[in-house]
Amino acid sequence: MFSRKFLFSVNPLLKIGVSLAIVAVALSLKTLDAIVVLVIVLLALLVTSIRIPLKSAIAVIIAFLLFIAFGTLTLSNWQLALFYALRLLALSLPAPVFALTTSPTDLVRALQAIKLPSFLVLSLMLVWRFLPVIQQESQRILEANQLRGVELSRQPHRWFSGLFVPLVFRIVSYADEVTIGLETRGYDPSLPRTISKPLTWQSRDTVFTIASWLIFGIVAHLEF
Amino acid sequence: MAELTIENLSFTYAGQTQPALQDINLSVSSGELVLITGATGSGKSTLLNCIAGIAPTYTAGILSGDLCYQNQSILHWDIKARSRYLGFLLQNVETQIFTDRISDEIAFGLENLNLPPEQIPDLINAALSEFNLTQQQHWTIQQLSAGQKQRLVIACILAMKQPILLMDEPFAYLDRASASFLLDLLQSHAAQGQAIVLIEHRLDLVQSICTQSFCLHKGQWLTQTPKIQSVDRSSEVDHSTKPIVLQCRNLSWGGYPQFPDLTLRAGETTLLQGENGCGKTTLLKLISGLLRPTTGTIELLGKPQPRRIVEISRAIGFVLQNPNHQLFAESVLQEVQNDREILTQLNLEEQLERHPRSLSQGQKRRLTLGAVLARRPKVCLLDEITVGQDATSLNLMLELLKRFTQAGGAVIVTSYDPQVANALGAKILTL
Repeated sequence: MFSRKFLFSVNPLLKIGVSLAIVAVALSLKTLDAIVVLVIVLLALLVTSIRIPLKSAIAVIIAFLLFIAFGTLTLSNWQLALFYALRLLALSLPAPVFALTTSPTDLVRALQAIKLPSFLVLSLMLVWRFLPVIQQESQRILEANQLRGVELSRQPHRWFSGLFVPLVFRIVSYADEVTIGLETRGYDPSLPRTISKPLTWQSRDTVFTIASWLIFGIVAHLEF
Repeated sequence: MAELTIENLSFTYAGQTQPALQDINLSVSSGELVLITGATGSGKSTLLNCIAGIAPTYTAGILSGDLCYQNQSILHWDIKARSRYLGFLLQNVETQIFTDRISDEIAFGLENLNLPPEQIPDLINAALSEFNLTQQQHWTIQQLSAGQKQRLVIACILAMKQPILLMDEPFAYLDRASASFLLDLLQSHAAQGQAIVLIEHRLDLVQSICTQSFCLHKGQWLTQTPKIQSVDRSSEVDHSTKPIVLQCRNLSWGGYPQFPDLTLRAGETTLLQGENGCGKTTLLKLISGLLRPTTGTIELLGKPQPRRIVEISRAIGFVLQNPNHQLFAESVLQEVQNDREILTQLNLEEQLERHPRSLSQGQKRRLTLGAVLARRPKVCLLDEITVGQDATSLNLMLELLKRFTQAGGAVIVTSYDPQVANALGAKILTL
């Protein structure tokens, strides 16, 4: 039933609202059961909506376990350590779930719909494009190093010349290149733009809202 | 009346004394298709950048002279204001893509023009059908190859129907069929009244449709367009007795159909041909180890391909499409491991102390080839050899590759230019 595309088509403003609500709820929860339910739901959303590379998943699990181990050592209470680790997850998961399931176009339409100042829409759009571009550029630079026989993961002394310098060049030129790209495509934040697909409330938005309230209800029931 | 008039335009980059453009005059009327040629670094892209307003806004320098649209000076207009009348296809189209779906990308430009919302779906459908993209309209842009992205951005820009079109190497990544399709399309847009100015190195393709052609040399018009330097035809050599250096069998990856088997002997050159998106770059990535094949085997120098890319890289060098990812050294000389001979062969000896990133795109491309060959690989993979290369620059690269194969190296190259296959005496493998 839960299609991979479901979350992608939910209203971005609704996703922003629910993400903020999750952060607020995660900060106010005090019982382990409630936060476990919240984190399980978030993880389920993440796994069903986004393809996560195995390496990244393993790295996150290891970091999570280390966090619990460190917490147990310092607090001498594994349950409290687990609670804090889960709270950290509950605080950090909504952002990637939201960010990775919202296309730049949908974000711009959403921000225009709430009449956000155009310079803010432009800045957010550039930031939205920036993160995946930099990730892609880093990957290409790492590959180019390997093609030259340099395994950067085993040669940290070459990180500066092999990765940081070319990456900084790319980051510096990125701002200009993308602004030129935007302007040559006729984007002018000071002029009105057509919204060809205006944001409308869809049935899936109602489903998402009801499901969110239901989950918040369960979490509240466990908490109190 | 001329749509675009350029009067005594000069541009000098900040920190330089020699102007990159000097006293350029040009008049382009509605329905005209103007071709600008010239060697790499001759000022072609600088000229288009000046027309579009990118120079001096983003490229620091001093601009003088005048630029007019329908006899009205636009010299003090910014890029955004000019873009209402000038459609501009940049050399690197990736920087002009802002959405993640094909139909959204076409809509983006039309929304920027603030067209009535009810007109936009029809214009999107017209652009999709004009470019045979209707079936792919819901594809994500990530799925597209370089050539398909090029086609998409051209479709986006043509859909905006500005009266003047500036295009920097629109044919660069296009296969033969897409190129001939674009030729017809440009002619029909010119016939409908658009004024088109384009830079292109694939002169064999575009010269027949241009109404005017100009050649830039060191920032000035040459009075006579020089004869196109043709690429020398290499003599056929029998390689059947040479040892096999690379063998690929039953390779497949992702959604591509199985790749044809490939056997490459020392001294041999293979040209991979096929339409945009058929998997040429993917096959090169499989051979270099950047991707792991879903099925099939690769044998390198008679042994199974090692797992680690760095081990594969001892035998295989790969010249990527974008040279900016492959330059790491502090100077041109260091980049080729102090091999001055390679720099001489690539006509880069005057730049040996310069930082690699300060070179022009064409020079960077030559340098990455030099850097790869300086490591003395057994096999050199070269993705899209002709992109950004004028005939002279391309000849230098081809000459170096010929010497490499004569010394026993093997080459796999992708290109849409049939001259490349002739010049290298290449075997053609169609995907």
